[in-house]
Amino acid sequence: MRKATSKLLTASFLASVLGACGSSTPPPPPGPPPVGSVTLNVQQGMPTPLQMLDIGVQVFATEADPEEITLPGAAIFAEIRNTETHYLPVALRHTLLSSNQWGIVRVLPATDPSLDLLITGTILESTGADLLLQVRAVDSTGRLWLDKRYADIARTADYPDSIPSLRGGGITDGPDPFQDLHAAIANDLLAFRNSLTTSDLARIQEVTQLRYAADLSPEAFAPYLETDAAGQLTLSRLPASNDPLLQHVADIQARHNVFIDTIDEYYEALYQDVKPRYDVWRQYSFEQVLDQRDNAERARNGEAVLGTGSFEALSQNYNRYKWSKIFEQEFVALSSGFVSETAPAVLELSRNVSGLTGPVEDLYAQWRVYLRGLYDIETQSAATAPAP
Amino acid sequence: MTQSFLILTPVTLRFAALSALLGLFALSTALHAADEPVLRDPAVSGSDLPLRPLFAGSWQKDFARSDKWEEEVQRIIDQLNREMQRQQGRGDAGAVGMSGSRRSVGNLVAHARLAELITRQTTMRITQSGDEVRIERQGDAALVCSTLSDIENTFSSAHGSELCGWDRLQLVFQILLAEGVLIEHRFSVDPSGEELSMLTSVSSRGSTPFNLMTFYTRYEAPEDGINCVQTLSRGLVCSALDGAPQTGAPAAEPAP
Repeated sequence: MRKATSKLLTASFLASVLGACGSSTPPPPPGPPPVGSVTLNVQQGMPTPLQMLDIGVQVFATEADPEEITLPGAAIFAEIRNTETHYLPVALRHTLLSSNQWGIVRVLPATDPSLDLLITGTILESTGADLLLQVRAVDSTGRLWLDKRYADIARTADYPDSIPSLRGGGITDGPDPFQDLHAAIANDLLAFRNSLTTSDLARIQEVTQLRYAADLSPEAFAPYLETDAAGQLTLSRLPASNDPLLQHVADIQARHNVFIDTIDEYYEALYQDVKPRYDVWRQYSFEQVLDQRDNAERARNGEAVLGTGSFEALSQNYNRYKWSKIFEQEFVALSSGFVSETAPAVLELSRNVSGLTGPVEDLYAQWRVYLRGLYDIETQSAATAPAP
Repeated sequence: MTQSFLILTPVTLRFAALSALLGLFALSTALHAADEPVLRDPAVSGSDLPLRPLFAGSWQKDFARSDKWEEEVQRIIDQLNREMQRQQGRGDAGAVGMSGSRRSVGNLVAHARLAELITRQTTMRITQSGDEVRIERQGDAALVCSTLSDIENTFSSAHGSELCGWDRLQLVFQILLAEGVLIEHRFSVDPSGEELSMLTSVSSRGSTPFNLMTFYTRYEAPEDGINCVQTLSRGLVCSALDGAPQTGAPAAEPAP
């Protein structure tokens, strides 16, 4: 019985050790070629009103690699992934604002009918060395602006010269190592906008207005919208400019904007809170990925090991092993620190939106229901009020 | 993030060799265990948790009792010389040969010096919880092993791999460096719990292991009662513990 057990153990060790060996040699990330060095296209003067489309960047989704659950500290890395889904949209928002090409740009927990353009994204790969995003942008008419994978590779020069010391509690506040990727997305959006005519842009803004109104009161405003042969929303007719219901919609939308601005501010606060730690974590991740790739390359090349059997060779081999293990232990400790120190900021985000309870996504849905109710009350009150 | 795949390289094959060694380790453990009653921790009587000795505490090296690598090397060389003289006396000097002996001695000295290098720390701090033993040594990676499983793979990289396990009441770590050098640390405590020994063996490709025994005695570290947590923004943050910890002293600076 015990011999059978030991055989089982041997087999499982063989599998686990070989599996671990395989996982230590990651292949290059799949996907498109890296965006390379990208210069953000910045508008020097003010864009025209028609060009100033309001943009919503929805909190990203993530596709965690199932392989990661076998790695040490997998739960910690899952938490970091979760934080990234909030962090990266804000980084993109900053880039869009820096380009000075757009109207208001907000980060939102869900789709929003009050915006001209909605950007959604999925994190496919994110380490300190690589970032791979699937990004999709659709305007209020339903026109697809882009649906594309963006990849970027960080270079050594993207990080500070020295690795921040854990002992020293080093914090960096440098530029984003994947800024090129964000700039590439912004430039692609701009290129698409520039391909549209002024009437296209005007129609987007008109549809946005009526789509929001129809979201509040479908029976009153849905008839103004129709779907054309291309599957895009278009206007069947325009309401009168002095339509009192439209004025109610504008009032409600003003309150809605205050609400989504508040949410956006909390995402910004989260970003600012997380950034210093995230930068440190990302640099450690960068070093670790480079180390793994270097090792894999050496293994593939069957690189000869310096010396054989001498004390100098043995001690060098042991030191390599020792430092790789210390690095991994510190990396896990660092990741753990990242989660424990950013958790309060994430919690704060959930707690402080309008004093309501529940996740931001739920609050947002609650708020929209509340606004619809408010709209109904106000329009009914106006209808039943005695004429002056 | 990463995809697991198997590359048949010399490194991979060495890991396979490690696995085979661990198979022997598991077999050895199982056979020893067959001779021993299955012990249970009185503190968790009634549970299925195996009994593990208490290693927790701060330990300092007992230089007087610990092996000295030079003396060990000399002892083995003397033994080899005697063996060669006996062979020459019997007229079968070619059995080993002088050049082979020189190589063996060269490897022996290299292994001995490596053993000394990796056991140079004068103190160790060991923490032990219900499911883990953590051995912290200054200037080296912590040795961490589960108290629940008998054997586990604890670390693997292109530079080497580590497994740990329990051989009766001994805690064993086996490290196979990528170049085929096998290092084993075997920890045990005496029944009084006041003395800890670590047998370190270094061998390569089936050579006779060089063994170095290091003894430690328990001591009260001055910082006992301080708990330190690594943080990103503030570095190492330490605070006083309310209760008596089951740990030795942390090798850490106090909170600012």
